[in-house]
This record gives sequence, structure tokens and C-alpha cells, in this order.
Amino acid sequence: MTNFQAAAGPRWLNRETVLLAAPALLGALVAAALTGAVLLPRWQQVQRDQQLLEQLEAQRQRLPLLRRQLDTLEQQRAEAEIRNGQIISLIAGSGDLNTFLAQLSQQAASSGVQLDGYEPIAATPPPKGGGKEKTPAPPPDPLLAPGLSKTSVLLTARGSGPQLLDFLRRLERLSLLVVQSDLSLKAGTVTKDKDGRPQLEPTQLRLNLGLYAKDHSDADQPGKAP
Amino acid sequence: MTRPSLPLDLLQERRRQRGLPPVPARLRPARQLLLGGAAIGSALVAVVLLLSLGLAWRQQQLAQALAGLRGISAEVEALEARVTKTRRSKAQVQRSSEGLAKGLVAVSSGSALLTQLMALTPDGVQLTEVRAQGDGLVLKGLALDPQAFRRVNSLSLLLAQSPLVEPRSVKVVQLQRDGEAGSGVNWELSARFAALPAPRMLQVLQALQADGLARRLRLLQAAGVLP
Repeated sequence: MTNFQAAAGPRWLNRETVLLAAPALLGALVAAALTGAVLLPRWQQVQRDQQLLEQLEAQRQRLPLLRRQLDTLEQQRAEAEIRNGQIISLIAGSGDLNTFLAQLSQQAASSGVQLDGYEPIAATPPPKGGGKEKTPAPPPDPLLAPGLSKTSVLLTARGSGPQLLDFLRRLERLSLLVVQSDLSLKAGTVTKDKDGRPQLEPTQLRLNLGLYAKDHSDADQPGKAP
Repeated sequence: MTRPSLPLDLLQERRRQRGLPPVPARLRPARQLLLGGAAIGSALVAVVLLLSLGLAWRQQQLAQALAGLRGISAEVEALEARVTKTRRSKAQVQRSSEGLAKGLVAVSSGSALLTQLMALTPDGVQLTEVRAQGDGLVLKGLALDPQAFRRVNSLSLLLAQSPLVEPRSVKVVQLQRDGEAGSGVNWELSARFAALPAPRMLQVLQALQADGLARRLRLLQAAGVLP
């Protein structure tokens, strides 16, 4: 073939193009290979790092907010615990369960009521956290907070209506909360004395008392909510 | 005499026939072309290398910045865990307080009941038995003649007006005359205790002089936990 023969291939494919393009193409191939092997992974890594940095920056900006939130919550919890303690103090009072009989006797004497019976029924154990019982439990006592124990007593007494009313008021005024339930009053019958004069027997009072006291066996967690 | 030697150009005639310039255009040297191509290729590689160096520099900068923030994630997580734990603990304490306060409000006052019964029992009506069990109340007694039935009716109406009982729950269970006319009528009423809201309960207890329980509710009110 000479340069006088009609060109067989495309016009742009000539000696100059080939000589110029061959090394340029080789360079482009090397550049592409470098892009794939080095540039692209590095760019992706930079993108990931950038994203991570933005996340960390956002977290750093949240830190003061979180600290303030924590401070506020801890303060609110402390206030709530103080209120809880106040309520537990209202329930357990400052009186001692061991001296309750003496207090009861004193209040009965002051109101002119005669005590006939005092029968502890059953002590309900304080609720324990982890225990799972299969048998259906009775409805929980709303006043039986953790750290408190309950004693139930069946009390029988007798006196006139006003005396019994005064006695009940005195019981309610005790520092120890005395929860009354199943109140039963039965008026006495009229009997005749030796001289045949009618005499009204005193009214009989029958009452369940629930007494709450701080459980000293659990003294390491005094009245704290779970 | 010798003729000057001319460079032999065998294609000169053909060029003339085809109308091409008699002297062919000079070809650019291959070396120059190759160098040009190599320059282009090298420029491309250089651009890639420069970009790569730039990215490496940026990567280093980011790594330094990340190293400065290394502990932030753990600190944020720890704080978030503490916030969640404190919030849960606070909610538990508040629930406990609310439960205890509700329990205290629900404590029944025997003295308030007796005071109320004494106040509303009309003349000619005697109470012989009072039984309060759970939220149920049973009253028994004797109504004297004349108008014994009317007296019991008055008692049931007065009882229905008491804040301590549900008005519609008051029922006359039984009226029975045992003996002769004029001996009185045995009666029995039943009712159900009302569940009063705490502020109303406080008012009622104060009005009925049940000051022991009223004092406790006032303390709850002062502590801001009266439900």
C-alpha cells in the first residue's frame, strides 16, 4: 500500500492519530486502573468518614442537652422519692407497732370503751420483686408499699354509740395509720336488772384493723419504690 | 559535463496526474507524536494521582477529627442509658406514689360513717345493726309507730342524699312488723358506698369530723399527690 491508494479505513485512522493516541490511550488505561484501584475506594472511605464525622458532631452537640435532661430527671426523681417517702410516712406513721396494744388500750380508756377482743389475723408479707407464683394472687393491697409490712387485727369492743364514735375517731388520729374495714355495730338488747328496771346493754363493735409499719427486716431499702 | 544529481522521486509523475502538490507534505516525526501522546496519557495519570493525593490529605484530616471525637459515641450512649433508666425509675416512683395516694384516699372512715348515720337517722328510728363490708352497707333497725313505714322511707331518702353512699344504691330490703300494732317495725336497708374523688372526700371527711384521715389527705394535697 502506498499513500496514493484510496484509503481503506476511516479517514481519522492514520499514522499521526495512531502514534498520538497509542501512548495517550495507555495513559488513560493506567489512569482508569488507578481510579478503580486507589481513587474510588479512597473516595468511598472519605465519604464514610465524612458521614461518621457528621454523626459524631451531631452527637457532640447533643451532649449538653442530654446532660441537662439527665440533671432535670434526677432532680425530678429525687423529688418524687421525697414525696413517696412522705406518703409512706403517712401510712406507717411514727408510731411503733409493738406499742399499738398500749395505744389501743389508752384510746379505749379515754373514750370509755371496753375492749373485748384483739385477734391478729395474718401478716401479709411485703411484695417481693422476682417471685413468680403460678397460683392467682389476691388483689394487691394498694397501701402495702415495698418496705412496709401489714398486720391485720380483728377487734371487738363495746360501749355506747358516742363512746364508740369517739374511739373510732381516736384510732384514726393515731400516727400509725389504722385502716378500718368490715365495720359491724350491733346495738345491745334491753335487759332488766335485779329491780326489774330496763337496762340497755352497750353496743358491740366488731372491726378489722389494718396496720402498716416499716419492715425493719428490709431496712437496707427503707420505703424505696422498686 | 556532468548533470547535477537530483533526488530520485519516482512518484512525482503520479502526483502530478492526481493533481497533488509536486512535493509531498512532510510527515511529522514519530518521536514527536509519541511524546505528545505520552504527555496526554501522563497528564491523565497525573490528574488521577493528584486527586488521590488530595483524597489522602482529606482522609488524614478526617481521621484526626474522628480521633478527637472517639469517645463521644460511648459517652452519648452512656448518657442515653442513664436518662432512660432515670426516667423509668422516676415513673415507677410516681406510679408507686399515685397508687399509695389512691389507697389512702380509699381508706374508709368508720367514724365518718357513724357520724353521718347519727346525723341523718330521723326521730323514731333506731339503728340496731350497722354492717359495712367492702363497698356494701347494711343497716338494720326498728322504726316506731306511728308512721313507722314513713320513718323508714325518710331514712332511705336521707341516706340517698349522703355523700358517702351511691344515691341509687339505697334499697329497702325488708320491713317487718313482728308484734302487735304499735310495737314498731323492723327494717333493713342496703346501700353501696360511693367512690368519691379525692378533693370531695377531703371535704366530706372534714364535714364529718373524721379529722385523722382528713389530716392525712391534707398532707397528700400539700405534697401535690392527691389524686
